[in-house]
Amino acid sequence: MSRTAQSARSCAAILILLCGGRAWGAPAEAATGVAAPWSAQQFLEEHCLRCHGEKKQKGDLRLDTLERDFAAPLTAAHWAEVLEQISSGAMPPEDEPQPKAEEAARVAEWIATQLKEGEAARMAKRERVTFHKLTREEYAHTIRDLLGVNFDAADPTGLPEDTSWQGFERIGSVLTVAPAHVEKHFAAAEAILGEALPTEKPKPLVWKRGWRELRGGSLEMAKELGMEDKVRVEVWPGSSFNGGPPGPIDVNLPATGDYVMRIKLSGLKPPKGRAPRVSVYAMDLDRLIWEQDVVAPEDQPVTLEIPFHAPAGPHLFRFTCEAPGPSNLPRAGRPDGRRLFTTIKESLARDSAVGRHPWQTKLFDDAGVPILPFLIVDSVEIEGPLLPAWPTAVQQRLFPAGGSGDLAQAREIVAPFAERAFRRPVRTEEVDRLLKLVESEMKSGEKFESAVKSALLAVLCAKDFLYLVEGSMERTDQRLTDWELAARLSYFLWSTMPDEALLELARKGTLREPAILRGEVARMLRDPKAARFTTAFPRNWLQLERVGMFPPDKKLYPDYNAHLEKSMIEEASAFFREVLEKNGTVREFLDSDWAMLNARLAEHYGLPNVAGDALQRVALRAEDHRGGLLTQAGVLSLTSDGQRHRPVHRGKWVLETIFNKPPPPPPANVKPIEPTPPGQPKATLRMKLEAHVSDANCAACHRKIDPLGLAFDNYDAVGRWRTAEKIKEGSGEDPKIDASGELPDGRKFAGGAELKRLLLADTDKFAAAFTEKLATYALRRAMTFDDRQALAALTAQSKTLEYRLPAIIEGLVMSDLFQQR
Amino acid sequence: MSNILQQRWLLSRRHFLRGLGATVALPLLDCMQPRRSVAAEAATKPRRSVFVYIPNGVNVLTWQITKAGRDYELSAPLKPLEKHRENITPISGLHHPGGIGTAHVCADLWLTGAKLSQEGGAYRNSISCDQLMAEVTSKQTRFSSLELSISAGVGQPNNSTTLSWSRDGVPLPAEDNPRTVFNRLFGEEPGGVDVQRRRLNRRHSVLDTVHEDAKTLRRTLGGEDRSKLDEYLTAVREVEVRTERLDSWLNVPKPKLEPAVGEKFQRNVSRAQAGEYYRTMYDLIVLALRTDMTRVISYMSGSESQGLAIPEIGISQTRHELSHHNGDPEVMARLSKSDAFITEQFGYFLDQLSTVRDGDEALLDRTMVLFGSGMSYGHSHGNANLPTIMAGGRALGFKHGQHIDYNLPKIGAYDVANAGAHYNLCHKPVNDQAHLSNLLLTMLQKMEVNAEKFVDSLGPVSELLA
Repeated sequence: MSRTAQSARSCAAILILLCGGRAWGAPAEAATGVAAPWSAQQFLEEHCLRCHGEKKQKGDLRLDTLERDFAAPLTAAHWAEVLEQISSGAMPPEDEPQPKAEEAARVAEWIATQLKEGEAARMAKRERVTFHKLTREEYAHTIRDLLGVNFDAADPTGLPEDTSWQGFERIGSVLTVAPAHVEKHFAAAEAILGEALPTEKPKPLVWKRGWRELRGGSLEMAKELGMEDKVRVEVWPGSSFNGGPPGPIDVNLPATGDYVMRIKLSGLKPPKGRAPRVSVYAMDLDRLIWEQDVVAPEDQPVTLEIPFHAPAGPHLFRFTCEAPGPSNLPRAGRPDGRRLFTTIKESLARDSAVGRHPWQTKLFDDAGVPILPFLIVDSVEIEGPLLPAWPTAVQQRLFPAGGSGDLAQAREIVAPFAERAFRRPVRTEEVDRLLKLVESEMKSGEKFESAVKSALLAVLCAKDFLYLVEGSMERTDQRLTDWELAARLSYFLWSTMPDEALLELARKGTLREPAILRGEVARMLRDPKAARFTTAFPRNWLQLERVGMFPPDKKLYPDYNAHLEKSMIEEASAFFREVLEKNGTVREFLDSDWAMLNARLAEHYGLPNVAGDALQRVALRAEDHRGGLLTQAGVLSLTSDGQRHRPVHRGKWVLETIFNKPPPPPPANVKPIEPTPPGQPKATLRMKLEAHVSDANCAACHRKIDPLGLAFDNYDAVGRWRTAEKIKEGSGEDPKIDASGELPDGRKFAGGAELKRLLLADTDKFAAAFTEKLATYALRRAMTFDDRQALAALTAQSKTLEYRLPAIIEGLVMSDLFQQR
Repeated sequence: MSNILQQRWLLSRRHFLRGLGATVALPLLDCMQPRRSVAAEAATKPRRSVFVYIPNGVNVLTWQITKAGRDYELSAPLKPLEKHRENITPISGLHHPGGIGTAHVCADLWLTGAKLSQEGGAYRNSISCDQLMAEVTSKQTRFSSLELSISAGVGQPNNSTTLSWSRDGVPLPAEDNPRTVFNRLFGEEPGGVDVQRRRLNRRHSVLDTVHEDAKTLRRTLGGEDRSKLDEYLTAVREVEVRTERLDSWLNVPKPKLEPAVGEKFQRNVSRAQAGEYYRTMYDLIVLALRTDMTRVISYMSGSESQGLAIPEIGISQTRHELSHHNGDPEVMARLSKSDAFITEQFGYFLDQLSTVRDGDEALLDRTMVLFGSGMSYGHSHGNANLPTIMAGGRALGFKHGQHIDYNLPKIGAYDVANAGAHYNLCHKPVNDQAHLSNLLLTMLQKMEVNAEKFVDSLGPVSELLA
């Protein structure tokens, strides 16, 4: 303890040396800034000021004059140190009278709230002109709408990852631009324009692979048996092509562009098992380009058409049959290259050169019924680059035949392009500057089209394209222009630039008329592009990026695979989308009698069989233990650490996501959880966390956090239902789960289901938190104290509309909060 | 015959190279300082790093040096390095925690230390230490770094033919043909200088337009705090500066070499003549360094799937085949012979670096050379106790002449007669603090990279520092 106190003193001393603020040694004046509630003031007077006040300044720290401007970074740092001292129990020192744990907790919470508020204020500070950078996903969507080119932003050759804050990837003040970003944007723009306006027609690729290349094997032997053209490639569960010469899917693409891969295959599913699942993974791009279940009889193969976009050059694709199966090691009963497969019947009929070795594991039984899910592939073909038109559509639009090839034509091309790219009318001097570039390029010997391309390149690297720019020095009022409103709206609901209809309304100046604006919101939510909102917002709000961040241990959770993980993330999005499309209320997020499931999720949850890979609405019964967001596998597993569930993290997640009240950080020197000695009876995690209950210092904060997580102890680290907790250390039987708890206001619950009901009783609180999260996403900034009234008004208004989700979205867009800076 | 490399590196230079029986005359060069260079920078002498990789590990039983400290004895395969004793430090016991149990992926991560998935998960490598060095030295040299290998290109994930990765985890393609490399270094620009200049001019013009546009707005904003606009302006300006730097190199004529020097590299050396092939590559490296074309070079003398057979000493198997000897004493003996041969060629490299003078110092004195493998016991893919030798860099503050051993303090003594026991310590690290990244961090800091840490490093290797 004293060591902490000493380090606190030296820490504070250093802070003070750095500071130099007027709080130290100055005559006692009232501290400025946020007014402390009376209880906090009293706490400071009673427990702190004796040693840190006017008469004495132990450790050179004085608290009565410490400024309360929590937005100033240095002041915030001082207060953060004070918070640490109080919440760890280091202060007041042991030999002084100790405050009651609840009092200390209240003060700690007050400081924590102020710190959060200060941080938000710092982050949301708006200058005359604000610049909010587009995320890389938004950049890619915008490029597609502007130039029709698919840009792979997440590839290693794409753009850097966006920094996130509390799960949100698009917070303007957090996204930074370093020289590396500029270089990458430049390179990206060059590649994009090269694809949209190619200088020469790329040579089409002719590429096809059959059994010889996909699995190797003797051509002579096949000829001898008269089955040279009958050999097919069986792909075992868990296997990829192993290939003969020249190699499996190893291809050199002649140009950057769109391609299609066609795979002709059959897929056999055992009666009670999973369907075989194809996955095609581009190894050098680190990108999964296709995934689907394939069930097709061996005499009726199907052809998968797999579109993908890739840069020119060599690529290696790994084709895998993703399904659980026997060991992948060569001697564990899998086939070697020498046995050729043609048909099941043939394999069963003869036991010579075709079919299986006697010692091999059986893929199908003697009646030809599959025992394991497997694929039978005939061929793989790649075609491209796909050119719907030549010259390309963009070429025809920008450089129609018969142009004058001079600066006048250049202006006619560059000005409208810049207007679309900048999402607003362009000023003459902006176009002049771009034309100067065209002129200098032509003087350096470039042809007309190439010179104009340089100007387009400059447009794609300009601040007005890469950033959402709002405000100007000339305007003093806070209202957005129609153009700015259109952009804010389209990036909110579509993650891309405004379409022609929106731009037209902005041009006419009628966008903000209530009836028109409402109509646009409705239209945009119905548009397929709204899928980007229903994917990105839940991902940000629910922190779904964390799903699978700590990969579940393969031995403890052998059934967890990439397919399940993907389905978990999609479940949350699909649920959100269903609520939106069916005009549902936000109450459904807390609990519902339905879920969105596919076969894989139904299997994971132990629910009656749902067919197919597409997510569909399924009615739930009480005994299914699902409903709402809180008991979805993705949500439950994102807080796990790969080995076990973490109830305290779950509780923290509920506080952050459902109530938007993140708990204060834990003190720095908390001891880790001890493993149970072998002689002792097995203990659940809850039992091990009993210090959170018995130690008053811990309990002060943890009684607000833990119950919200422990309520879901019946769901394991990957979200499966259980009644006992599987424990390795210790002796005896696995102990039964105790998911009961008590909320800070005294209401008790027996488990997750009852907690959900209690949360429903507090829907107002949840709706307020949800509105704030939605506003954060839409406005791309943290919400602050100044926004409080506006947010409260929004929540009250949506309450009169039963908190229906479309109404909340519409209400937000119609509000001043959205229409002003 | 005097080998002179002038001391003043940046402001003007004229140097003559003798040693290959040839002269290299560089015309007087204009100042090519980076825009914001400090005068002191102009007067500093170059710091260089070379990384040489041996694939598939070694015959650990014969390779192991059994005594630590200054009076160690070089093992049989390492005897060719005896005359360089005062310039080398063999090190035993190092490993990459991310490399344990990785088998051949060890080559992919030798200079990155990353933990790479082999089970079909995402393969994302991180930046290799040589590229971190290149970021610093690229301001002074025409080529920021050079990647050489037994096979051109990048190979494939888990079977790399390059040791170098960029910041975004993109492998940098290597070159395997001495002629191609020579022509790239000393020949005409591909497409000619004019094409390169045009490209750079265009980039500069575009960025200038973009910068002007943002600056116009910035002026009207007046005295605002550091804002997003400033951040953007700074970033654009920095890229412009880099472009200018690249362009100014186009002004600098490449060194003119006497025909005899060039001829040597224009011949097609067959890989069947392993010795000559290696020596040609080493000569190329020396030439690149002494003409200051670059200061950072990685050389993958063999990839994990392609380590040269050496017919001239009767070894017809590749190193991969030799390494999977299954305990056969004949194959193991051949592996030792291959190890010795490779070391002998490395000795030749050190000979050359020692002979070429840079003022009153040898080229070797300001060049750090890391020689080693990502695998030790190849037969069952042991990735601990990696064979590693650090050479050179004495004028940069390295002290040599000893064998640093992280195993001996724990195990007391080696017992190479007990093969099983020795193989064990090539699988499971004896000292879990002996990270190879510590050594890489030491090199990084000597190259003046501003780093306190590299991947999982715990601190520099103090025993190497004078």
